[in-house]
Amino acid sequence: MSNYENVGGSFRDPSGFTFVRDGTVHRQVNAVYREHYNHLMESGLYAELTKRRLLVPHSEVDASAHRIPGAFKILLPQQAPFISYPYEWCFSQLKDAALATLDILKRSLKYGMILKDSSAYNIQFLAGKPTLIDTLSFEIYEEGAAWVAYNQFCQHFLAPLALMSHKDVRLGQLLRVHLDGIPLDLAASLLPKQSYRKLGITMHIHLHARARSRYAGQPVVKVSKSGKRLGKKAILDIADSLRAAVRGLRWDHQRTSWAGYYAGDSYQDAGFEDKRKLVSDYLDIAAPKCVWDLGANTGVFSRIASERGAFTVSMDSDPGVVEENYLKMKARDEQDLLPLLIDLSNPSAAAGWANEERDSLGERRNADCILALALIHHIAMSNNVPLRRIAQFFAQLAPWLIIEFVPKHDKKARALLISRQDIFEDYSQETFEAIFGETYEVARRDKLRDSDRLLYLMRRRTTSKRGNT
Amino acid sequence: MRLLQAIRKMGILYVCCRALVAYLDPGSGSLIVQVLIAVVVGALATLRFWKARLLNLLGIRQEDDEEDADTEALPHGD
Repeated sequence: MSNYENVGGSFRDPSGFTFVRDGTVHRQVNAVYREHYNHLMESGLYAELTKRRLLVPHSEVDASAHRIPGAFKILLPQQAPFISYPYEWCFSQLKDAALATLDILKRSLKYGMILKDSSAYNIQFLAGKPTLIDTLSFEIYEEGAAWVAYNQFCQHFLAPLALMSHKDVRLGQLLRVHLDGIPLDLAASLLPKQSYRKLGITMHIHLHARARSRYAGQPVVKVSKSGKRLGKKAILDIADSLRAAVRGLRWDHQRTSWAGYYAGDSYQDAGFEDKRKLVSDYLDIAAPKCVWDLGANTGVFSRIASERGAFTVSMDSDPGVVEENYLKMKARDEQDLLPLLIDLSNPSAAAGWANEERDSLGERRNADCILALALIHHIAMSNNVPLRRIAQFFAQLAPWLIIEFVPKHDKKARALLISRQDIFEDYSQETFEAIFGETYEVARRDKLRDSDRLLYLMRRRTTSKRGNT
Repeated sequence: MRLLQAIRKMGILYVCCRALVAYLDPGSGSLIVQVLIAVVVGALATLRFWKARLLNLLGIRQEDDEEDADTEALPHGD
């Protein structure tokens, strides 16, 4: 029997909604959207956007088999291997998603349509490219109508990018709280005065914020006396202006604390090569289809997995290294890699209406194997997380674990204790093996050359060795 | 803000969201400011156009924006 489940974040748009059937995401097109859907498919817009990988391709499936009231069509879109959110993207990911949205807007107008929403959540990185996944985001353009989604674009894309560029890259995290984008009055108040030097930011954020405040609650629908209208060219001009504003925003990622980690003295060359070889061997044994690399830095080890064809989510909490990872991925057109900004000590929570619109990181788990390299000392000592809790967390995420144990006398571990009391008496190889042994069986263990670090391939036990104790 | 009010009084606004499937509240201020921005950006584009023609006439070549290579076949001059 088929199992239907509505997707939590898909309920606002009356044009349709997404649902999961037997583990596969489908999209229902409601009868009210019939005219717009037909125009999208028949005008050539769908063909152009999918050819350019700007819109997710779909096939139509038999709607009658689903027996859902109001359905005009049921679509089976290409499945996204992992759904990520704008607050998990680095600066350039958000920027590229913004530029893709504007590109789609302009191409839509060419075919007599317009974007009726411009939510950053409608963009996903499919095979490395920002792609619109909401096929129902288009409506037939009526000459004279303004762009309804203009404010949403400014809040979801321009405001966070401007704050990240002009003030502090960490302000992108305001998107975690403001799910419908950063309110423009807030963005305007946080931006420095120098931001007025940029015409695009002055118009689309500062002036826009004041106009919204000035005309809040006032009706504006007025038929022209002089016959002039806000025409298609005006919308294209606005799109061009937004594009110039977005492209003009930059962020220098080289200044963060983890940038240049591999170029420093963290690894001896021989030890580093040894580790690469061992990780490769372990991955051959585990043969995962999907890998999560936790604390991935710039993704050196993530690439060992992705180059084997495993879809790899490459997570780090440092915006600079995620930026570098993404730029490298983009330059090399790596399609099985997804760099994301994730802080393991506070991973993305469930959010939105009824806490169901945006899933927590744990709810999106899909990995067969976790990579946790040069990570455990940071979690255990910098964040004071007990080893047993770390083992339990990893075990919830995937059946396989490739983990590096960094002993306390290692240079990098000592650096963490340089200004604080050592309260980690239990942090030792013996305790580590005993505690992780409760949850995992050790399939391989190797000492890394030129250091006392150890690498383990572990497989989750079907029942915990500790039982119910 | 005076500029915005002036534009509003001139009665050149024809901004609305008539489409049946629109579900976002565009916000009055966001609709009004689009008119102003369209005027400013349109004027700047015209200026750039004539500047380019003038420079062309004088035989001065302008450097192309290399990042525009990816916008091939876009419906509007970038």
